[in-house]
Amino acid sequence: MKNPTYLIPWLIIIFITCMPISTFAQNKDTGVGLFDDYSINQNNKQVPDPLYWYNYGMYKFNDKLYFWLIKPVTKGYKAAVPSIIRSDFKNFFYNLLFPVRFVNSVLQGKFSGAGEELTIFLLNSSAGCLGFGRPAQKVFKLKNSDEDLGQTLGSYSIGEGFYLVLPVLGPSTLRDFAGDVGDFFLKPVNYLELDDAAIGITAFDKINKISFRLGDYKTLKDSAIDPYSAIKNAYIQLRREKVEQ
Amino acid sequence: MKTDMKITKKSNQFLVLSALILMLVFAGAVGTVLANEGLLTNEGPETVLKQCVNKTISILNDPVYKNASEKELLHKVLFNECEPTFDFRALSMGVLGRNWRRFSKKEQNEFIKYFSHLIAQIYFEKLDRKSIKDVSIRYIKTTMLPPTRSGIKRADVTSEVTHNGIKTPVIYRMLKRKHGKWKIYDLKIEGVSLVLNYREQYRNKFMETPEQIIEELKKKVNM
Repeated sequence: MKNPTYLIPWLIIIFITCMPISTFAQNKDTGVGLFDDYSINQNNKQVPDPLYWYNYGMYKFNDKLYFWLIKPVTKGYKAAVPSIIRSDFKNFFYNLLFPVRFVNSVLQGKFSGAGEELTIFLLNSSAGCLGFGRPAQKVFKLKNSDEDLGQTLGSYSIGEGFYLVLPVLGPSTLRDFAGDVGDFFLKPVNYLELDDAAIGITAFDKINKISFRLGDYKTLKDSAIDPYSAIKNAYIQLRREKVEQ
Repeated sequence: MKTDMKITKKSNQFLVLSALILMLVFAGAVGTVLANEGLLTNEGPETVLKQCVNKTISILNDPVYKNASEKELLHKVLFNECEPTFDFRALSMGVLGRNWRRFSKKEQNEFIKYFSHLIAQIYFEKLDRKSIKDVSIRYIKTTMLPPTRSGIKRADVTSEVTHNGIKTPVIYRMLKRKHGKWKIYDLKIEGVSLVLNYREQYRNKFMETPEQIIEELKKKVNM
């Protein structure tokens, strides 16, 4: 009895019986059960960032560009132009992007969505005065399908590739950037004779859009522990949600 | 003998009656306590959420907090009102992911405290009397999700918030423990989950000690 080895089998038995309890407790403690479907959902898959240093520099550049130029310009514009006119312009530019939404709906086999897009375009371009008004959505309750080539490629199970921060345009991925290049040819603005005019109009469209969300970027940045990865993750989640729809 | 019987019968009746009254009183007291805790009413996730939202709006419209100088007090009142509708413990676990296990009990509680205030701060900063007037919220549907293995019920409440003419889909992910109310443990705004977004931010912080993480968080919160 003095030999302590007789304790060993007992210890093993105690250890084995305790094991499942402790692993169970651990699971409970990390809230694994609550977030299980987060990992099943492809939301949890990481997008590589091999160009981190370039991307980080570009993020810093865009950040300064926003606070030093875009924000003050938009603020002035917002103060000078009443919101009704700004939202008319927003509608007009949105209507112009009809070919992007229509073609990509077709490419994804969403024919009813494509048909609805066509109806909206015809209605708003005529009854809606060149798209400044949106009777199709307001009166006829039709719904747009915000499809683009990046989403189309995603629906063909093409992965994001890697994360990419574009100058001025902001967060993107290799796939979405390729999509943008394709969509470029579906945007009527880009068929203007003068390149400067196309750039000017695109810039105006962007400023007009931002005028509705002034302050959102600052909120996102202020709330973040690490703004770079917060923005990266928000972009990836947003795009994956859109691809899934 | 007969009178004896009568007396015992009477006293028996009296006993039964007083017992019944006592039981009723007791049941009433327990009932009110339970109802206050939201345990008896068996409120669905949507009801709990609506109550919280409506209370927030009525506080924001309260003329007591009209002056900007009352902002701090307003935020305090709002926090105390909303806090019971959130499960900040579950939320923090999700946010820290694997890092959670490295935190001691005390550090976990500290993290929960500061993180809940950070979340509140972001939302309250955007909420004020002026902006709440042109916000409208539409509840679309409630989807029950499969419960966890330990029996925690889960649900998604889908809503749409319209502000400045922009519609934003907001999904509240809620849970219900065995003896508890429905509580929010994640928010999905335009498809972006708050928990996943912060988890990504903390993923790269595995080299930092829990104290460093808490210290960093502390700096962002004005308490």
